[in-house]
Amino acid sequence: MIKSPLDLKNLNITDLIIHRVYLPGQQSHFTVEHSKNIIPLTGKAKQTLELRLIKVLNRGSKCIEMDIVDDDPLDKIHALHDSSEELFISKSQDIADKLGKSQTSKKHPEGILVVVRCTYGVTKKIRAIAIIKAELHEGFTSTVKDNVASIGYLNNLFLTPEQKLYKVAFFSEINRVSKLNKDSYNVYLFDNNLTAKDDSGAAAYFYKKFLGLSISADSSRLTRSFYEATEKYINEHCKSIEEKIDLTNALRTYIKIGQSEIIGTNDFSEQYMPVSKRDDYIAFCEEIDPVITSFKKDDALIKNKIKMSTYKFSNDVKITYPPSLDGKTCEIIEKSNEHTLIKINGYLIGN
Amino acid sequence: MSDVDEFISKFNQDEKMLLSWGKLVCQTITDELKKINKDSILKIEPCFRVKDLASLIEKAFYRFKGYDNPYKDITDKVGVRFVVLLTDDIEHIKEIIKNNPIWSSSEDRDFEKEKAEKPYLFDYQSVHYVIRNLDEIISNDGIVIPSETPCEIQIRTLLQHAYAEVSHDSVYKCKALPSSDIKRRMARTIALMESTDELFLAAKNELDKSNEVIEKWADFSKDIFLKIAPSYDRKTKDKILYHILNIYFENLTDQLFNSYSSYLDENEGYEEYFQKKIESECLSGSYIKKSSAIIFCLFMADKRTEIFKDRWPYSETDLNEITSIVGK
Repeated sequence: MIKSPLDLKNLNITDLIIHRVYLPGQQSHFTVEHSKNIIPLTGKAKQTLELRLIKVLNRGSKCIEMDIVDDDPLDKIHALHDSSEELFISKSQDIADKLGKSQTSKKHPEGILVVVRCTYGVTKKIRAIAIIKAELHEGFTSTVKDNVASIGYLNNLFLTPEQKLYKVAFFSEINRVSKLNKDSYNVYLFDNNLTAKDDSGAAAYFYKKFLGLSISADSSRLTRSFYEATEKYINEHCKSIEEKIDLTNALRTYIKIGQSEIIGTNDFSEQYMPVSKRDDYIAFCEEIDPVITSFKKDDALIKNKIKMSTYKFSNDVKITYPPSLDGKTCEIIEKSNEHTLIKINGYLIGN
Repeated sequence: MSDVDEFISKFNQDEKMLLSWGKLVCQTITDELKKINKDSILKIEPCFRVKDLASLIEKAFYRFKGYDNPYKDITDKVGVRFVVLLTDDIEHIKEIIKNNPIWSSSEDRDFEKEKAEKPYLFDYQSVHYVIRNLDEIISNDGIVIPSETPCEIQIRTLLQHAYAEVSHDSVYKCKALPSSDIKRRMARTIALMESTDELFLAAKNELDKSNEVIEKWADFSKDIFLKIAPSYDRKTKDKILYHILNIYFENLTDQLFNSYSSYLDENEGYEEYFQKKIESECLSGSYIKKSSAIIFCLFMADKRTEIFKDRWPYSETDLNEITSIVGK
């Protein structure tokens, strides 16, 4: 089946429940405080939460597709779809307990588990469950009345636009089958901690221990596919040699040296392309491989390709050099139809 | 009874009828312009008038025009005048005059022809037609207009009108004969008017080309929006639409238009979905909900997300609300 990136048109949250996960004073184990009610969400509150979900899960975001490793969490999550209110409450409590148990280090922050039952899709309504772990943070409210201002302090804010403070796993039921299996779900994960090279378990406790997911084994293939699609775009759409060289270098640097572990066409174009080209490029790549908008970087299959950049000249001279962030390893200083002046920022050590 | 007396009595008898005929001609042409949506080319309220008796008599008997039958031969006893903006607007009125079945028309004066015949001459410019009703007409106020009653129609641009007014008021009506210096200045004025008209037209044509693109996108947006919001009035000026289209003007390529024109057809259910969303509370900016620009915005947010976000001219909240509808 050809996969496509998540298209969240018509996202509609139907039910929502929250449970609190916290560390009681002087204890080393997290405790879960259950709630017993589904929260009726309407109007602006509902719309804002939908907007938050779309922002982190849409195809331009840094959310990535995950593999399902452990069936148990999926069973629990799947069961939420058809359950009555009572059952939904009790099953979501089980899920919260599992999160409590998965939080084994004091470094794992306290917070709120939000379990969301929703649908999306314009013609065909797809059922989905969003599992959100949100950290509480502090903030203020302000009021000005009759020229007198006052400030209120809040310490239980969550799901503000600050994306560092929540993780979302989105379980999308792609086909309804009588007997649940892994293939009937696509799972997407958004977690800011994933983007760092060393997440020191800040992400793993959530996706692995708690939800039984793993980062797609496809990462190396996706990285290669992304590299090739982008290279194809550059070759077909860049008019000048300079533009071509610049972008190809940027592509190698982006994969080889770039800091972010979650990469993709959106992120690349934002960093290296003028706005006027981005949509074209993203659409071009989506045509070739729809899921390379965002994925976990793994350069295993293209190590050799990105190792060195090359300049080729009309008289058979070739210079190869490692790509660098500042692009100053090997700089073109001047060029005409007859000659090219190149500055190599290093001294000669041999041949 | 002298010729003059006879002339006067006939004219007095006809005056009401002539006025009624002028009014009818004026109204007919204005209505036709409205029908083809061109009434905006009229820059001064069209007017009709019956020539005053003194100047009629002067024309008939003292200007040596050599009329056999002055009363019949003077065709501008009643006249209608249309003042338009630029020379290329004149054509619309000429077409209406030539094609109306209730009268016959003859072109009395055409400055384009005069220019070709006397290229060195810079003088009064205007298009004059004389029309005559083929059959007897009974006007709305019950006045019988006999067939073959002539009426002169003048068509000119604002610039030509300005020249005509000045030359008529200060030169022609002046008791003293204009010196050659004054004549020269008047000739220079009309030469300048002609050049100005040409420059204006060149600028207008350039604008029209951009306009054509904008109008194509605007028309389509309005068509679609009308389906979704039947109360939308196509005729009121949709300022937001034009403002937004201008912001994304560079991106309005033919290729993108193809994708725009098939957008709702190729994506089943979008029309109903957008309709539901536009009607709901999820768009807080009412300015955008009420404009057909919303269709264009949703399309751009979906298909040209990066450019759309980058150039968005209004608030971030509005932008987020729009992009979230298309799941972006």
